[in-house]
Amino acid sequence: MAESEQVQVKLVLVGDGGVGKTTFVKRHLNGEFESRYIPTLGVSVQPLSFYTNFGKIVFNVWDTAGQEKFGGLRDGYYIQGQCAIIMFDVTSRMSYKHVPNWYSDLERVCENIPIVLCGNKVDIKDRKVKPSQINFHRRYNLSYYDVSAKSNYNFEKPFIWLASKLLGNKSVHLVQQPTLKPAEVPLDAGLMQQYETEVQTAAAVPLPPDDNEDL
Amino acid sequence: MSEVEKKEEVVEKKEEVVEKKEESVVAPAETTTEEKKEEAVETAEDSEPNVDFGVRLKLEETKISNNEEDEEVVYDERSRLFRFDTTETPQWKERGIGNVRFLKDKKTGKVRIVMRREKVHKVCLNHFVDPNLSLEPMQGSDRAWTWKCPLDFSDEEFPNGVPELFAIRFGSSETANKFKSTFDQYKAENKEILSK
Repeated sequence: MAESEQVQVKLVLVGDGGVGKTTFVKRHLNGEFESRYIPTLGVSVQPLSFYTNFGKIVFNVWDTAGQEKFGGLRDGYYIQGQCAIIMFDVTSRMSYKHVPNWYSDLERVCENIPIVLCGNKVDIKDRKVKPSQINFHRRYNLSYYDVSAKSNYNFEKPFIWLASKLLGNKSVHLVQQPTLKPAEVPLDAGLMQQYETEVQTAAAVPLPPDDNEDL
Repeated sequence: MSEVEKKEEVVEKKEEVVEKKEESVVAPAETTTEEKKEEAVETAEDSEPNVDFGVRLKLEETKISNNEEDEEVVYDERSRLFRFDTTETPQWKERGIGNVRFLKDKKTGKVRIVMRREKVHKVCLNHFVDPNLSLEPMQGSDRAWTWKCPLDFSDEEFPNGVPELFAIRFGSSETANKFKSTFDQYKAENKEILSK
């Protein structure tokens, strides 16, 4: 597919510090699950691409600092935002309580854009914000999804909904990314032997635990 | 599963979502028993309001090739893939959950290994099953393997390949062993083809 056919969209990702915005982005970017908390400073922009029945769509995700003490959000982060995700943590009532603040902050600069509300960390047993308490989205026509960056629960849905709204209520689904053709030049046996130590070192480092997924 | 069947599956899922949307507009029913209350706490329904923003992205429906049309899936198993990251403290980082597959070219018979992440269908593993690759057991696990891949072709931004050190874990030691024997079988077959 030609590069020119790619469509770029600015997506603003907001929410309190520690709700999992950066972890959610990283999970999409390279499959990682980062459990350490490293607060984002200012903003980090990451391109998340999705292959759809309308071609490749790249969401340039403006992953913002949730913590006011790291500078607060300047209008520049919001300007020309075409869609947004407001994220809270279902194990933190405070993060849900602040959703209206994030919403009005967004709406002040980006009027009338499609917005998704996401309750993250639904894999955690001790849920504090119950489904019946989540109703902010109903008043303002936001969509809502329970999500988990850890278990991948619903993690693709915010992007599908946003794409369908930007395309004008079209039925959007994800399709398979095209594979590249791998090289078939035989590897040098001697070269592979050189990697032996590297492989043995790695084999001694334990893999992350598999939780309840059995994989 | 053929492409057509897959499409149908996707369409069915879409319909489910639409139904859920309608349900979610209705206020949650009064729960009478303890059990029901507990159930209701579990997960929230998706909520997708029927709101229209007009057409802000003008795109036509199109068909994207997955570039696997000339190949046959000869093995398919759910697994979790990791890559060894040495940028900071050396550690394994998750790369994707999904089905790992061996694809055999219908004309040449050459076999490659391809894995896509579940739900988003993005490629996280893609290389020729080279005769000189070798799977080594992961210490302390009877259902995981590791191998050095001098050039992996998952990332479309790097069409010339990226060196990676992978580990793959399965649900049981049986499936892990089956993977190893399949890997070794196609290594041998590729060797045979290359030597011709």
